[in-house]
Amino acid sequence: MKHQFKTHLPAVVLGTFLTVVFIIGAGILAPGAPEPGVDLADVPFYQLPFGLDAAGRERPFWPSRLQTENGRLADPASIQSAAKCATCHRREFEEWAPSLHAIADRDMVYERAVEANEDLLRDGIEKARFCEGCHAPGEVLTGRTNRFKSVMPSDAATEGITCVMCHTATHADPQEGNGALTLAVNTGVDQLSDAMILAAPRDHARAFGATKTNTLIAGSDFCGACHTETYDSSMSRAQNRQHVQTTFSEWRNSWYARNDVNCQDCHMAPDPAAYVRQIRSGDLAKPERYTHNFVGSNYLMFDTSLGSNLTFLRGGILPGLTEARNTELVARQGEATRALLRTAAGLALRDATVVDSKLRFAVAVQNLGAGHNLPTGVIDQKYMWLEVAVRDASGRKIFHSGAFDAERGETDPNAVIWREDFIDSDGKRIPDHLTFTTAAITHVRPGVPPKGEDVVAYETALPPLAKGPFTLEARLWYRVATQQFVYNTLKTDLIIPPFELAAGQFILVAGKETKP
Amino acid sequence: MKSLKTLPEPACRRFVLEYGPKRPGIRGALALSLLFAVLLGTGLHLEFLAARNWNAGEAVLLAHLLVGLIFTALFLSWIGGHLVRGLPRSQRPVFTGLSWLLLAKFALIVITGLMMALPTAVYLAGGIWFWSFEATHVQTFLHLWTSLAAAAGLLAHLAMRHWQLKVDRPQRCAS
Repeated sequence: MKHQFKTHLPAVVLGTFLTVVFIIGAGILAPGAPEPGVDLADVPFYQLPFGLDAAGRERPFWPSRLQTENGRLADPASIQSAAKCATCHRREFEEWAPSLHAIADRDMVYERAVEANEDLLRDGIEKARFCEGCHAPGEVLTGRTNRFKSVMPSDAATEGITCVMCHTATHADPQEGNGALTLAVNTGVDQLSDAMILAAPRDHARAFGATKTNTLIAGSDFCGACHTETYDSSMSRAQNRQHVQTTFSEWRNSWYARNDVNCQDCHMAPDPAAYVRQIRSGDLAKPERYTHNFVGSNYLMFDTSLGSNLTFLRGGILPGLTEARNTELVARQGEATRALLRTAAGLALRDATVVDSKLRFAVAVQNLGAGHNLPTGVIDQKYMWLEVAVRDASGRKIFHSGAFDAERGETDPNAVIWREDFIDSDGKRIPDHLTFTTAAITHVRPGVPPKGEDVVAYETALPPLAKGPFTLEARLWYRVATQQFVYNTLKTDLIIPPFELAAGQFILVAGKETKP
Repeated sequence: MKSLKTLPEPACRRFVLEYGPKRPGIRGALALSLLFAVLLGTGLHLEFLAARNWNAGEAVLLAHLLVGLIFTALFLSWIGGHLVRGLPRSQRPVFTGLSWLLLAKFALIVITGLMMALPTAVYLAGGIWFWSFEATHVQTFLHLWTSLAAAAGLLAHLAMRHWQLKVDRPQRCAS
């Protein structure tokens, strides 16, 4: 028989077996690799002023609820900069680079607000782990959010919500919020060289937690871990939990959640405004792909008419981008942002009557396209207001509420406004986003719920010579920061322009409801 | 000195020369088998065990790539001669068919392997290019399962009787 078979069989079978045994044996006998990550003791002067948790363990990232998979700090060298990922993932990088996620740690509005808070209290810098846990998880996880900076800075740490942060997530708690994410930055990041990644890209994908992570980051629970924010005694003067940002629960209780339209569908669609219009028309098909633009509502950070002020507000230009490319990407994202904002709201006239020489009318502010309240997020700075102007038949203005003073950047103090207020321990409103001295959160007017409306009633005395028909011009405005904050915290006289969400003109016919 | 009676018959001498341990191409075939075994072992490790330690997996991947290139070169230089020697001797159409199938499997393994290594070659040459996610998935799938099928096919190829000497049994070589 078969010399060939007798000759080759041992070679093939034993060779295969011995190869596998050799590799496994080498792995077993090789000196054990140290546990990935950085031990607390190895970060000099790392402050832990908040005590131990209920199980008696140190809380290196508290008051943020952010965690690593093994509880250790992260090695900055293991967190790749997004610019490095861009070597192969150029498309995704250029989608993400102009987004608010990319500048979450760099934008001046945020940076100055954090500095103002850090200066308020003892342990202010360590308390800022609460802020940085969502805005700059790399800074917190590497131990840089500390009064003594003993960890060297890195590009990745300053990139805000960078690639590695989302693509190593293994757990999210949207009920707890405040950054309640577990990120496998210590064990879930491969250190393969670029050439080897190109030879085995599937292994590169698997190293980033692939199946588990990809399932998690495709759902709204993941977003809710940061887009749910509460203040409590760990970082503020609140004695009980104060709900500051409830975007996730607004969505979860809405028609959108019941119909499986999640955050990613709108905010990561290739054309978010078109997708919202599609949803509004009743077509619930998912987007054909998900982009990393995360188009949102902050129109200011894409207003290229601000020139160099915009670069200042955005905290400079990200590594990996030229100035020209940055401008092009920001301008494109700005168009998408403004288009998305215009799909969110609508106005309708609900009633108009004239009684005893008084004109009464009601305007409905409608949330037509947002899967969460309008406005949403932390709305002590962001706010929405309604401007109405009534003219008589001769064109004379007989009533005006909600005017905006473009020279001073001030909104009519009597305007109907949707905003939350930070209240200090003395019951006074805090205008400058001072989280650490906030004792309570109140709402001037809570946001308009998804697919809901808020009816605002007005009454004005009619001048004696005023004759109808009366014309109502209604405009719904949105603004991302108060002028007081800009003066006090940004220390600049830049006027923050408002954005018109919706507008309508109505003829006030007594007793009838109309849409524009 | 051996007597004429003890010398092997010409047919047996031919048999020993062409099928015995010292026949042409045996060393090359054995080397290929060993290389294939190493590739199979490293490949199985990468597919099923590398997740335990991605960074150790890089060493195994590098070994797999290098051994794969050596295997490809050796295989291409050997297969021509093997076909020339082996085809005329195949006595059964089934064996011939299975042999061609085996060759096709090895060709697919080599081709998919080279395709997967192409992005690395482009990178080392200074460029950045890679297959789409779907293409990578198909290549990996084909490369893995064809390898396993080729391993089974190789053993069958070696085990099947494929020659029948036209000599009387009693006069068969004593060696």
